[in-house]
Amino acid sequence: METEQKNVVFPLNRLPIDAQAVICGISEKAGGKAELLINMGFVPGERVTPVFSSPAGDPTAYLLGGCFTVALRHAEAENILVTEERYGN
Amino acid sequence: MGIKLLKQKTDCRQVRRLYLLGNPNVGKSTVFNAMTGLKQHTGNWSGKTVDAAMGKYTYNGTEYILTDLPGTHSVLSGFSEESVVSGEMESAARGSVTLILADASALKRGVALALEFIEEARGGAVLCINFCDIAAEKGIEIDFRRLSALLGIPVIGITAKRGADIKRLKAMIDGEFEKIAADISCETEITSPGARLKKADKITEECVSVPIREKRGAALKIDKILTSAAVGIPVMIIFLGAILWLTIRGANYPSELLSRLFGFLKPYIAAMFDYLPLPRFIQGIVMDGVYDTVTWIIAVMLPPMAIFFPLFTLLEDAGFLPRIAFNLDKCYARCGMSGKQCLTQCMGLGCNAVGVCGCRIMPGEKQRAVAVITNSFMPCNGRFAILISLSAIFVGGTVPGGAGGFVPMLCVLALICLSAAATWAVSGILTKTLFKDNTQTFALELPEYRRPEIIKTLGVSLVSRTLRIVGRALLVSAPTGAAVWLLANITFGGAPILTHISHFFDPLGRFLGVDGFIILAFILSLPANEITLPILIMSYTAAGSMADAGNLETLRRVFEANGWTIVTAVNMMLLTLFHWPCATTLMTIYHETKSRCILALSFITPCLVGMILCLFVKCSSILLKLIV
Ligand SMILES: Nc1nc2c(ncn2[C@@H]2O[C@H](COP(=O)(O)OP(=O)(O)OP(=O)(O)O)[C@@H](O)[C@H]2O)c(=O)[nH]1
Ligand SMILES: [Mg+2]
Repeated sequence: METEQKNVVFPLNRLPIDAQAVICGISEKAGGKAELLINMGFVPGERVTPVFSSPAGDPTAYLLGGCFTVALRHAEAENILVTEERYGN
Repeated sequence: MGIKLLKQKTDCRQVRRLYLLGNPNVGKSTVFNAMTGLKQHTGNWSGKTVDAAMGKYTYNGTEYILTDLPGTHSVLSGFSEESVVSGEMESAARGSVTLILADASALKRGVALALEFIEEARGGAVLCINFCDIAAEKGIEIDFRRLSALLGIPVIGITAKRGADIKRLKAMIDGEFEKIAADISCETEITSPGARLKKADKITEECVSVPIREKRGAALKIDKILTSAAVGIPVMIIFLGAILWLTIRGANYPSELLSRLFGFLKPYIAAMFDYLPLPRFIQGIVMDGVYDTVTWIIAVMLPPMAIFFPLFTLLEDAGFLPRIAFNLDKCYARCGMSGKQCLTQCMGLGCNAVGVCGCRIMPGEKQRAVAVITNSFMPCNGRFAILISLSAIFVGGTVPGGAGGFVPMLCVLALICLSAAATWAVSGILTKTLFKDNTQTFALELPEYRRPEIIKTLGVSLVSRTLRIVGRALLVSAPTGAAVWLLANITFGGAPILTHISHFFDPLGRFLGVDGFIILAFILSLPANEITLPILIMSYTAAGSMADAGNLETLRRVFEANGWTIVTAVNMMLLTLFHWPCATTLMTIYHETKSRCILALSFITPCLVGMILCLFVKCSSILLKLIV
């Protein structure tokens, strides 16, 4: 929070493979999808890393919180807002 | 909520209730099986269990009723299979104990679930940390005592597959049940999932020694290769092809042996009838009707099932299935479906009734309905064996040296791909017309790879699945065999009744490029698909017996004598893939959806697809003949 001007917030699907980011929140566009994503563990403060994409490039597997791999489509991932801010304020 | 009590007879002494709660794929069903001795299906992917199941065990004279729940990320959320959990948890009375299972390598998530459960205060809880074997391999060390103090509930570390650990767990529950059940802390206030996860993070950081990351790195490399554009899909096809090849090659020998054995025994058993004061036709019914059908199923159908099922289970246990779903998701996305449909199809490959139940993992009612309707496109094990026999006879036989297993393998592989293509096409049509729904979230969990326990897996899948299915087939086939023999041997107006009936279906059969007997065989095998071929053979050999028809060469002669061409064989295979689902599957569909409309669609859709494909093959063969 302290360095708002420096940290750019962008949707998760733009994060390149193997780069790490921290989740800031779920965008309002998500609507009803938000609940499932939050329950899955896509909550503010979690570290997330895209680890590999499917042959067609669409769903991408994300390593969440260092221990849980879940695949999301672009349509889901673009609702998750992340920043490259360091973990743990 | 359809909860089945797997073991009956509950006498009302002291009964204690236990629940198994946890994230998906943390070994709940494995623990359940180990504690109760039952055989819930387990597998290395999220969503294997879709309905609550109960079982019981006795320890020290106290009876425990244990409920295995589907995996969940949250105790009270309302998502598809998770609503089963929230429903069960609502009713979890005080005085019960919930075992919250967690994966030692992903402890944070288990702790977060435990925190949520404690907040909700629905009875006592124990945190069971499973997969201690794998954690030890990775060098993860957990301070159980510390964790217990921080959470305020007992914590125990186990490896579900180790009997001693299960005993330790039972002893601990037995000793402290009252204390745990009574100890419900109500002070904690309800927090948000984010806050909970942060708290869980803090707690685990305090209690878990920093894990070594090396192991994960290796698995990640495998994943990157298995999902890469160049290798991903070919490797999947090669895997499936290899399993098919092993099945076809491997099934040959026991098949041959069994059919020779049964053929050898038959005269001796028949001779016994001479000593019994029974009319001759009884011997006909028993020996040429029941005996031949039953032994044919054992000799021809059992070996491929007994090989394919266990091999496929090994892939499942290793964690390969979700990767297939992941790789193919784009195809499903184009049809408006979730890649999870692929998992339901994989289960359908074993048994369509199981596949239909598995459709609960689909997000949303509409996608679930579409997955249910198209599930029977995947040939279940019974139909699978038909495809293998037919392709060995007709496709393998037409190519010189092709009968060795490679050509039939390619043929069956092509048929499975055709099934997948038909599933996509029909799902696409259904989601664009009757079942429009674009609001679903796609999220597919990819579990870690695990070394499957080969011996145990082989044993369990052989005994609990293959033999059960064959048992059911035999149960159906004995009376059907007798009935068909009677129909084939009672003449009416100069011809057997069976011939009259099949004449009735002949126009339809000819129209589709097959014959009336084939249509009749499919109709009569509604109770179980396994009996299609024996019925067909018996109706062809009519008054004779189908003795040594277990031999593929003889079988080919029988078919060719009845006017089969390659077109007949291909269309028979197509109809095997696409006709109505068997009675068990139909009942499961109704039970699962409670909708006559979906039931009707599940019946009609595959029929339509089958008719269209058969007509296509017939017309193209006519065209080819005109050209050549
Ligand atoms: N190595 C090892 N494997 C285990 C252990 N416990 C379970 N497994 C394996 O983990 C996989 C998942 O187990 P399940 O019992 O199906 O998991 P579940 O929690 O019931 O999963 P869902 O029903 O999908 O929520 C299976 O392949 C088990 O064989 C363990 O302690 N050690
Ligand atoms: Mg389970």
